Amino acid sequence: MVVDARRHTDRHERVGVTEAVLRGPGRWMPPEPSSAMRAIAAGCVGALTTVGIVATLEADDNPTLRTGGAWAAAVLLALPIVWRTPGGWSLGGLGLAVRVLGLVVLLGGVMVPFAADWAIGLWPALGAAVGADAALSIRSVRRLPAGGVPLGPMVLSARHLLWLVLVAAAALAFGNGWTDVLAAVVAAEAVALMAMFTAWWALRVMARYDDELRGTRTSALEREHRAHAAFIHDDVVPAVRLLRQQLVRSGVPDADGLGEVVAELERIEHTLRDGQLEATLRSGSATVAEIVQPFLRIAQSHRVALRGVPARDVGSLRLGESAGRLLRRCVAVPVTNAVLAGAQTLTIEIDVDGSHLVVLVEDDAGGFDQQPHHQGRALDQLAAELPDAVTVERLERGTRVVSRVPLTERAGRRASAGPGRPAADDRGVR
Amino acid sequence: MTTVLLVDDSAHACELFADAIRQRLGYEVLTLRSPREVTRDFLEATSIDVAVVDLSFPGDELTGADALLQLHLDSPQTALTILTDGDAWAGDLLRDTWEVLPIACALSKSSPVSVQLDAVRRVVEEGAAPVDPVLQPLLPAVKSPWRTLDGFSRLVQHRGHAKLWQAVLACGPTAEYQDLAEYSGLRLNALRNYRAQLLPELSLHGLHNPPMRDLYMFVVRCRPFLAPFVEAKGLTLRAERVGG
Repeated sequence: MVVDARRHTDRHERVGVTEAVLRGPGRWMPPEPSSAMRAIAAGCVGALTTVGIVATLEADDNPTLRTGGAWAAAVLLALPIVWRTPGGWSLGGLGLAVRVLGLVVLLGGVMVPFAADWAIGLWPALGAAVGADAALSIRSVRRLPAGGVPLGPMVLSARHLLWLVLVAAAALAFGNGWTDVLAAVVAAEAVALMAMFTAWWALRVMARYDDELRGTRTSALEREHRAHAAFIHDDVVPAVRLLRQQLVRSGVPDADGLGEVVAELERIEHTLRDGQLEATLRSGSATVAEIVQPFLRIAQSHRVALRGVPARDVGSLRLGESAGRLLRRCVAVPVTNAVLAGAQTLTIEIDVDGSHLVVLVEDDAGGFDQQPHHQGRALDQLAAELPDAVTVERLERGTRVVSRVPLTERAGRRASAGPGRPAADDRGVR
Repeated sequence: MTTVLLVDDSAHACELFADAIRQRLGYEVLTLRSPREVTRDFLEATSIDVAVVDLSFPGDELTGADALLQLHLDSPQTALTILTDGDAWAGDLLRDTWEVLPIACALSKSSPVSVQLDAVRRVVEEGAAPVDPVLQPLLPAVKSPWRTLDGFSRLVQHRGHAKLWQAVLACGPTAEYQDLAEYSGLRLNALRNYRAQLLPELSLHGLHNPPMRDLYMFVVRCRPFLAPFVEAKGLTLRAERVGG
């Protein structure tokens, strides 16, 4: 007899049942954490099934326990079959519900005078099964809590205490003695704690796995974009730049349109770099430096002196896609306005303030009327995109635009942290 | 007469920028197209006041860091200047080189020629010039006092560390410990221990518990600085193309 199974190579393969049993889930499950969860749950279920059958046979003088044990055995036997099929994912929630039913039935067995030590010992296994299944269900509906399951607060929660009180009350209601009540509470507590611990641990493992997977994908995208960037850097931009310089040196009179050709070549270089930045932004791995640099180049090419620019401690922060795009807008709009208005000097400062990037762009282009209808359309649009987060201040000789970019995405890392610097932990900084 | 050495594979730098330096600053300019040409013999035969060196050489296993290190060791009176596009993909190489070597200035290729010439003139006259604003977001505001040439010796404390670096470089960014063990002949646990021993030192280089890919990129970039200490343990570090 053979079963359909998956191996570490992630391809389907038919494995003999004997081999599958002898070599364990590692033989027929892929190395993904959820499979490990399934293996744990399946192992616990196997143990429970055996114990449940034995309990049913032993407790022939107890119809409740016998019925409960039979139900539980049937349910627990059926579930591994569900788990091992591809469709098992979508049945996670149902599996959990059935498991809880089994728990209630078995617990009913304990409520009657039955407190054998070995029976209590099986409850943690049931708890592990419930916890693993709960974790799988949470993951299958993609509701993985960002910070994992808060184990401490959960154990100390009012719901947990209420659960213990209800178990004790139920045991008392069945007319059990205090010893049996204590046994029931211990059993219920073992199930609850084990379920919580397993769910907490399983979700942690799966979250770490998801992070690694995401990191691998991002890193692959990043490598591809870096390769494109290297191509632009090594092959395209030097050729454009050489052509531009040769034209400038050629001494062709400007009347022949030389100025326009040179300007067009500058635009081509900027477009190439902009396309490169766009791809990096899409990958969600652009650094502040990558986003700001094109505008520093634009300013320099227009002979605008840069008085201040962000240093590497901010420049090395990686931003998610939406934060990266907002930062680009917050720099692009005031820098372009300043250059077009004939600024001679420009200051660009970026700081991290809690969950925001604070972007300051200051120029000496003479300033403009602060009435809304006089502020450029781009600045209006920017202010509309970031309500209450863009302030425009007229200075004696210019304008200061301060924008706050929300870092609304997942926490991440620095591009490559500098010596002694901690990894960034701001939301949206990747 | 002031002599400027330009090391760059692009015609833009070697022809146009060299001409601009000659014509507008009146300096003598020597040009080399590859860091391989910056040899001890060349430096012994030539007196160079300022070296302007690109970092990236497509198709060459050596980088500008190799040339700058050679200049620093064999021509210590030469003021070292980096000329780079400042693209972020080469940003880590720029930072490493800028922090480890006594760099007098870092110039962006995208800056106007007048800005570049002014920086070269300041390096000749004053010994240093401010870092180009386009490159500043890639560089720390203050150089780390822990990142020195000698400091790299702490990353190769014994032959086991040398084997680890050699294996990391040879096996590539996606290697696993098993691959390193097969390459180096060391046991898995020994490799893990060697890496763990280096973690405090690596954190001084901005690597906090780095995964294999980061470790690989570090050794690719910093190979010129690590190589002498690896060679002192009787091994060699094979050069790899940067940026992959």
